[in-house]
Amino acid sequence: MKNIFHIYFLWISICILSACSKVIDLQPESNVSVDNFYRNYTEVRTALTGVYNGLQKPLETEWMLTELRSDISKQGSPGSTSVSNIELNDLNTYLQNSSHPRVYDYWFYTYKNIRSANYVLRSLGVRYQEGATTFATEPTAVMDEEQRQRLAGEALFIRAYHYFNLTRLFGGVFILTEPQTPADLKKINRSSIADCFKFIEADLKAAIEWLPIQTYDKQPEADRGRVTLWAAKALLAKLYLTMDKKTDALSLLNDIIDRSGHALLASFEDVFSINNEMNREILFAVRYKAGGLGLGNFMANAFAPLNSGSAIVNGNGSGLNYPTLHLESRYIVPNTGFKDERKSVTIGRYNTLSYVQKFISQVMTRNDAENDFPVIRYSDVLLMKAEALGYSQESVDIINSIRKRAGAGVYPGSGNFSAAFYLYPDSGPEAITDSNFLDKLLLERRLEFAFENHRYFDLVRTGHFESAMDTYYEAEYDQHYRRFRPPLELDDLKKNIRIRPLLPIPQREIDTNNEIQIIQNPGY
Amino acid sequence: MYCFSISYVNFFALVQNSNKKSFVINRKFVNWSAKQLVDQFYKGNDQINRIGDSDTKIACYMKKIKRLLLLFCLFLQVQAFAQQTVHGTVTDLQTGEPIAGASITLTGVKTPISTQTKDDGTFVLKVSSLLNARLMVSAIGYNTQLVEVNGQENVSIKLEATATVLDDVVVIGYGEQKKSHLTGAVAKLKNENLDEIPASSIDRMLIGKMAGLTVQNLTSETGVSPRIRVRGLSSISAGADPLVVVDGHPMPDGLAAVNPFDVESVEVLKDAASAAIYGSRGANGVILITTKSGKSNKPKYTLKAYYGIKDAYKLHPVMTTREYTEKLYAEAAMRANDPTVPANRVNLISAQEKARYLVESVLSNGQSTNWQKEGLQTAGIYNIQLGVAGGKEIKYFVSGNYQQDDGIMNHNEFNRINFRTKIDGNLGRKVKFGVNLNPSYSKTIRPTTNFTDYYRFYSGLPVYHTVATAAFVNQNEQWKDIRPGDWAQPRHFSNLTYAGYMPDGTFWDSNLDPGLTGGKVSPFSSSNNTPKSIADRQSNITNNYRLQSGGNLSLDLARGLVLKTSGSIYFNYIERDFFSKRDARADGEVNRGEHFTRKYIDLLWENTLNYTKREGHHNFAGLLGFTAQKTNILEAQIVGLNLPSDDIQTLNQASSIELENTYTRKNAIGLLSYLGRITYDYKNRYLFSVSLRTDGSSYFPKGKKYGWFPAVSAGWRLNEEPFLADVLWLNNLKIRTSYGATGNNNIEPFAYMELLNMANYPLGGGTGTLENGLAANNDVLPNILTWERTYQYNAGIDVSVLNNRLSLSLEYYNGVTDRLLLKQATMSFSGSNQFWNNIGKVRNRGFEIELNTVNIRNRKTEWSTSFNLSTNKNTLLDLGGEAYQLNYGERNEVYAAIIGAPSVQFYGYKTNGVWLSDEEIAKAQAEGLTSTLSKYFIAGGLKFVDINGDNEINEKDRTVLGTPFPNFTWGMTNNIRYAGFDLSFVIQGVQGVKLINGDGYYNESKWYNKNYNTPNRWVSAAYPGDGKTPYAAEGADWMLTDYVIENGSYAALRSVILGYALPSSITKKMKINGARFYASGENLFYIMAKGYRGINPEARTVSGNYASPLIDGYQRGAFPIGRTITFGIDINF
Repeated sequence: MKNIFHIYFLWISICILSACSKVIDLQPESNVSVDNFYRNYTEVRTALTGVYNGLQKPLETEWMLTELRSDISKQGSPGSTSVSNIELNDLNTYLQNSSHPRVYDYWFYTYKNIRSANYVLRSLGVRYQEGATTFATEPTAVMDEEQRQRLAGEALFIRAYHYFNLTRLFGGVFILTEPQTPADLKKINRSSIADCFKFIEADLKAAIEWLPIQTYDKQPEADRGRVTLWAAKALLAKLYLTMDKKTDALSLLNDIIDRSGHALLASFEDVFSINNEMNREILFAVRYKAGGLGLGNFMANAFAPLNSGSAIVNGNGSGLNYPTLHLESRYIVPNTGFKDERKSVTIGRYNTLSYVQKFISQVMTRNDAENDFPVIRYSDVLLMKAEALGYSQESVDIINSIRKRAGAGVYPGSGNFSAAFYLYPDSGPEAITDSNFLDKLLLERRLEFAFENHRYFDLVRTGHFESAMDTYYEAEYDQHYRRFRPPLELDDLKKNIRIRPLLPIPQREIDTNNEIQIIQNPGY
Repeated sequence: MYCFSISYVNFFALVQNSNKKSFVINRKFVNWSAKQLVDQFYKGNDQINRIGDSDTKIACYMKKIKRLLLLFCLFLQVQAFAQQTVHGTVTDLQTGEPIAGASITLTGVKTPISTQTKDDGTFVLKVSSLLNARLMVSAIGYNTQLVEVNGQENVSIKLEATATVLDDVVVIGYGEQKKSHLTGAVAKLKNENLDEIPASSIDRMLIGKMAGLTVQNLTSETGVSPRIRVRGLSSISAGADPLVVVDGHPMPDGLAAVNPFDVESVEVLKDAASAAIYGSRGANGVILITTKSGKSNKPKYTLKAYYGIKDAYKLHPVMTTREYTEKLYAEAAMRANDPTVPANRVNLISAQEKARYLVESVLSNGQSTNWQKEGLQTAGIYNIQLGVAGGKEIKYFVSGNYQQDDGIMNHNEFNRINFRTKIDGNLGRKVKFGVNLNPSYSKTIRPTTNFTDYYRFYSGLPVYHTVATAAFVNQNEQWKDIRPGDWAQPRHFSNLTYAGYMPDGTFWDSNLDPGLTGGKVSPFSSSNNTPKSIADRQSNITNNYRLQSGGNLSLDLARGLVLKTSGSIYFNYIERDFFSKRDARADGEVNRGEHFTRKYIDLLWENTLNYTKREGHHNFAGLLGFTAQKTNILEAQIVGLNLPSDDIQTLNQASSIELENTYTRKNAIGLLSYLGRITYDYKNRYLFSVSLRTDGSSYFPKGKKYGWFPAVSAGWRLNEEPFLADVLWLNNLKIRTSYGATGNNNIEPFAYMELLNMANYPLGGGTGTLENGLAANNDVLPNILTWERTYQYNAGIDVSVLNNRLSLSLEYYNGVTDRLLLKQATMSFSGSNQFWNNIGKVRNRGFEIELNTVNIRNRKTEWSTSFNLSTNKNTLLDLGGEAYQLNYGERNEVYAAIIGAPSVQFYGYKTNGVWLSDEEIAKAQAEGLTSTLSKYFIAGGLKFVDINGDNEINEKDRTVLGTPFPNFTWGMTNNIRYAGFDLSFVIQGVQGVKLINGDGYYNESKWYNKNYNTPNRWVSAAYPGDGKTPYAAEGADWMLTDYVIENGSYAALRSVILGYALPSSITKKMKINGARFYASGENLFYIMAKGYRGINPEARTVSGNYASPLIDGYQRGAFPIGRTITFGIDINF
C-alpha cells in the first residue's frame, strides 16, 4: 500500500515539475499566425492573393456610394419604409447621416484590405516617405529582386486604387502605410486631398516602375487578372485627369494605346460575357468565381428585379441598383434603324420593372455568380484620352469609335438625329462642338459605363455634378421622388447635393478618437 | 475525534444525530450536567467503541479514568439534591411521535441536573421542589423550550422542529463546510420541489431563488439556456458567465445538461474569497451542483411524471390590413378638413396599400391571416423519471429521465434522455472510492425563422392560395401553374392590375393611377417567402451526446490526512443538421444541407491533500491541490447543395459541395493550477480562512500565462460567546468578512496572436483558377494579454431568532475588476475596429438580503416564506485613459461605456414630442435652430432636445438615455402545507431596468402595431394627436431616441405548485411509501411596466457579432412568453 502512495507522489511530482506544462504551451492548429508568415516569395504571393480577395468586399456597397448618388440608379420603391430601403433612399437623396451603416461598411472593408496590402508591402521593405514610394528597407521575405518588384507593384496598385476611391468619396482621408499601435493611430489625422493624391501618385509611379512590361498577348495565361503595368498607367491617368494634369494623363494613355496590346472588342456584349473573361478590353477587373467557393458575385441576385422569383435568376432578386428612367431614356433604341446595343446589355426588363443586366449570369445558389466586375476597360482609356485632349477631331473620332462599336450608323445628315442611333456627324447641327464636347463625352461615358461605378466620379471630376443632378432630379421628381415618405421637395433634393456632396467620415471614427479633433466634412 | 472532545466535556457535548452521518455540535447542551453527558456517551454510541480500536488506545484509557472520576462526582451531586420526582413525555409538535434522547435539565438551581428521554419519549427527573421547577427541554433538530412545572408531577412537552437547520453542510470549492462556519458569501438551495417546475433545465428553476444570482430568459425558445449572472457584470469583453461545476467537474455547457431531478443541492459561491479557490475562472461567480448520492438503506424507488401544455402569454396587438387601411382613410379625411394641408398631401395612401387592401377585402373575402398565430403551436411538455437509491458498504444512486419539451414556436422542440449512476463506498478502512457515469442525449429542434418575421407580415396575404387568389395570380404567365392550396407568396401578387372600392367608398383602378407604370401594382413589397412557408420547409436539428464520467479515490494517509485523486472526462459530441428544401426561401433556390459536428473532450485530473486537526480549542483544516485540465475541440462542417430529392437529406446525394463552408477546425485549451487553503477556528467562535490559487492558461503568451488569486476571510459567531449564551431567542448571530481575488480568461483562444484566414482568389484565363490566398481577417487586433482580475470585498451578517423562525442574512460587497480583457475600440482606418487590451477597471457593488420566515407551524399547517432582494451598481472606473467608448449594435443603436457610470448605457437623443406643424418648425428655425441631421425638420417627426444648448441639433446632442442594469431584483418563495396539501409559489421581479424596444425602432413592424400606431399619432397640424407620437416613419425615425427606450421592469408569478399527498393509511394499503399528485404552472401572471410596448420584458436580442457584454438591453423579435400548466404524480416505493 505504501509503495503505491510513493509511486503516486512521484508521479504527481514529475508532472508538476515538467510534463504538465505541455498542457498550457499550445499553438494554434488551424491557422497560421502573421508572425510566422511572409517569409519567402511563395508566402508573400499567397498573402498578395489575399489582397486581391479583399477587393471583392467593398464592391458590395460601392454602387450605393457611386451609382446611387448619381443619375444612374435609384431605390426602386419610393414609398418603402424598410430599413434597408431607407438606407438607400438616404444615399439617393443625399440625406445620409454620419452614422450611415453602409458608408461605414465601405470605409471599413476598404481599409481592411489596405491593411492586408500594407502587410505585404512591409515584408517587401516598401515605404512611403516624403512623397515617394521606394524600397527603403531590406525585405523580411527571401526572394529575388524581380519577384520583389512584381509583388510590390501589384500590391501598390491595389492600395492606390483603394485610396483613390476613398479620397474621391470622402475627401482627404487618413493615410496609413504600415501597421501602427492603437495609441499611434489616434495621432493620425486626415490628410488633405492634395496629400492623398500625392501619395496615390507615388504608389502608382512605383508600381509602374516595378511592374513588368508585357503586352496583353504576352501576359502568361495564368497571370490573367493580375495587376499589369497598363492598369497602373490607366489608373494614374485617371488620377491626373482628376488632378487636372491633362498632359501627364495624355502621355500615359497614349502609351497604353500604343504599346499595351489592349483593344476594343467588336461586340459590346462580349465584353461582359462570362465566357470571355479578362478579354482584350479589360485592363483590370475584380474577379469572381461561382461554385460555392465564397468567391461568387453578389450582383446577380442583388440587382435582379424584386420579386421575380426564378424568372431572371435563381433564388430571387432584390431589385437594387434600380436603373433610373432618365438613364434608360438616353439610350436610343428605335423600333427600326440603328439602335444602341448597350441598352439591352445594360438594362433588362421584367414585367414593369427595369434591372441591371450587365452582371447577371445564372446561379445555383444566391449571390454566387461568375461575372467579373470591370474596373478599367480599354474604352475608358480611349474616352479618358478624349477627355485629356479636349475638343478636337481626334476626340470626336474616339467618341464615334465607341458609338460605332455600340451599333451606331452613319448619320445621313438629315432627319431626326435621335430617331436612330448614329455617329456624330462632322458638321451640321448634330456635330460635336467645342461647347457641347464635354456634355457629349459625359453622355457617352454614362451610357458606356452605366453601373460600373464611374458616373459620380465623372460628374465631380468634370464639374458637371450639380447641373447633371439638377437635370436628373427635375426629370424624375414627379414620377419618383414626389412619392417619398416623408415628403421631399424638388428644391430639397437640389439643396442636398450642394450641402453634402462628399460622404461623411464615419461618426464612429470621430467618436473613437478622443485625442485629436477630426474635422468632419461640411454638411454633417 | 471523540476521545479528545471529552476533555472539555463541560463546554460541549458531542452527539450523533441519528438522521445525519456527521457529528454536530450544539450549544444548547452547554448547560448539561456532566452526568448527562456521560450518560450520553454510554448510550450505546458505537463511536466510542470504535475509537477504542484505534491506535490511540492509551489516550483513551486516560479519558476513561477521567470519566470514572466524573461519574463518581456526579453521583454525589445527584444524591444530594434528589427529593421529588417529575415524570413526563416529550413528543414532536407536528407528528406527535415521541422524541428519544431529548435532554431535560432542571434550571434555576445552583447545580443543574439533567436526564434524557427514553425511546418512548418518557423521562423521570428528580427535583428539589415541584412548585417552582423550570425545565429546559432540548433535542437535536428541535427548538429548545422552557417548561414551568407548576407543581405537576406529569408534564407533557411538545417540541417544535427547528425551522432551519443551522448546521447544514455547504459544499465549497474542493470540500465541504458547515454553514455555521462559513466566512464567505455562499448561497445554498436544496432541491425540494425544484424539479416540479415545468421547465427543462435547472437554470430556469433558479429564477428568483437566490440573492445575487440573476437568471434571465433571453428568449422563450425551448432548449436555449438563459443568461446567468452572479453579482453583476464584472467582465466587459471576456465572457461573463459563471463557472458551473457539477460534482467537481467544470462543465463547459453550463447547467444545460443537468437533469433537475438528480440535483441534491445548488451552491453559489458569490464572493471572491469563496470563488478564489477556483482562481482563474471564478471572477463571474461559481455555481456548484451536487448530485444525489445513495444512502445506507434498502433500495428506495422514486417515480415522477408530469404532463403539461403551453401557450403564449401575450401577443402583439396587430391591426389587419383592412383596419390599417381604414385608419389611413380616416386620417386622410382628417387632413382634408385641415386647411393647412395642401391638396396633394391629403391622400398619402399609396397604390401598394390600396392593392393590399383589395387583396384582403375582396380576394380573400375579408379573411385576414393572423401571422403571429401561424408562427405558434400548442405545445406540450412531459417528463418521466425513475430513480433508485440505496446500498450498504457500497452506496448507489441511479436515475433515468426522459423529457420532451415543445416550444410555443413552430418547429421548436427539446428532448432529453438522461442517466446518472453514482456509486461510492469504502474499500477497507482507509480507502474510499467514488465512481460516476452520466450519459445523456438531447435533441433540439430550433425554428429557422424568428418571430419578427411573423408579426410584421401582411395580414392580407393568405397562407395558402384559395380558389379566388389562385385564379387571380394565374393571370400572370409566370404563376399560371399555381393551384389552390399552394403556398401563397408575396411575389405571386406582383405586377397585376387591381381595382375596387376603398374604405371611403371611392372606386380605385390601378390602370388609371398616373404614378404607376402600365397600371401594374406589386402590393407586397417583400421579396421574402412567407415565414411559415420557410419554416415548414427548413429543419434545424441538433443532436447532443454527452458523457460525463469520473472516478475518485481517497486514501487516509494518517490521522486527519486524506489524499484524494480524481480523474474526470467530459465528452460532448454535437451533430447539427440543417436542411433547406428546394425553393424554401426563394424561388429557384436549390436545396441545401449542412452537417456540422463538434467533438469536445475535456480531461481533468485533480489531486488534493486534506488535513484536519483539532487541538484544544483550535480547529484546523488545510488543503493542498494540483489540477490539470486539457480540452480538445474538433469542429467539422460539410455543406452539400442540389440534392435530387428533398426527402433524402444526407449529403451523399448532393450534386456539389460548397467549399466555402466546408471545413474542419481544431482547437486546444489547457489549464494548470495549484491551490491551497487553510481554515482555522478558535473555540468555534473565531473563524479564519486563507486560500491561494495560481493558474496557468494556454490563452496567454509565454511569461503571461500564470495568474495568482489569493483570498482571506474571517467570521465571528457571536452567539457562541458566553455573554450571549442566555439569550435564548437568539439562535444564531454571525458576522463575517472576506477579501479575495479571482480571474477571468474567458476569451477566444490565441487572442494574443494575429491569425491568417483563407482568402482565395481566381486568377488566370477563362473563369480563373483558384489561387491560394491568406489574409489577416479578424476585426479584433491581438495584443499581449494576461489574466483579468477581480478583487472583491464582502461583509455579511447572519441572524436567526425566535427558535430559528426568522432568519436574516445581509451581504454587502464591493468588487473591482482591473486589467480588463477589453475589446477596445480603435480607429477603423487601421483595418480593424477593435483590439484586445488588458486595461480598464469596473466596479460592482451591492447589497443582498435573504430573509426566511416560518409564519405558521403547527401540527397541521406550516407556512414558510423566503424572500431575497439584491442590488448591484455597476460602475466603469477606467477604460485605459479614455473617457468613454461607444459600441454599436445590430441596428446601429449606440451603447456608451462612460467612466463613472454603468458599463452599458443607451446613447441617443432625448425627444420632446413631435414637430406639430411646419409653422412650429419655421418659428424654431427663425429663432436660429439648425440641424445637420438630414431628416430632422419634418412635421410629425420627433423633436430632439438641444442638450448642449448650441441651437444646433447634431451628434453632440446625444446623451445617456438609460441603462439595462436593474436597480434591484427580488424573489419570494412561499411554501404552505396543510394536512396532505402543499402549495408553493415563486414571485420574482426586476425593477428599474430599461430596454431598447427594437420592434419600435424598426418601422416595418411598428406600422401595424397598435401600441405604436395608437389613435394618438400625429396626422396633421390640426390633428397632432397627443403631440408625442410621430407619424409613421416621419423624421429621424431610426436614430436611437428615448421614444424607443422603455421600462423593462416586471413582477411575475414564476411558478406555482399545488400538491396533495395521499395519507399513509392509503399508501400502506397500496404497499408504497408515498404518493403525491400535483399541478404546477409557470409564468402564470405578469405585471409589466407602464410604457412597455413589447410582449416579453425579459427577452433580449444577443446574436452573432453583437453578442458582447457591452451591448445589452436590445429587444427585437422576442418570442412570446410561454405559459405552462402541468399535472404530475410522484410515487415513492
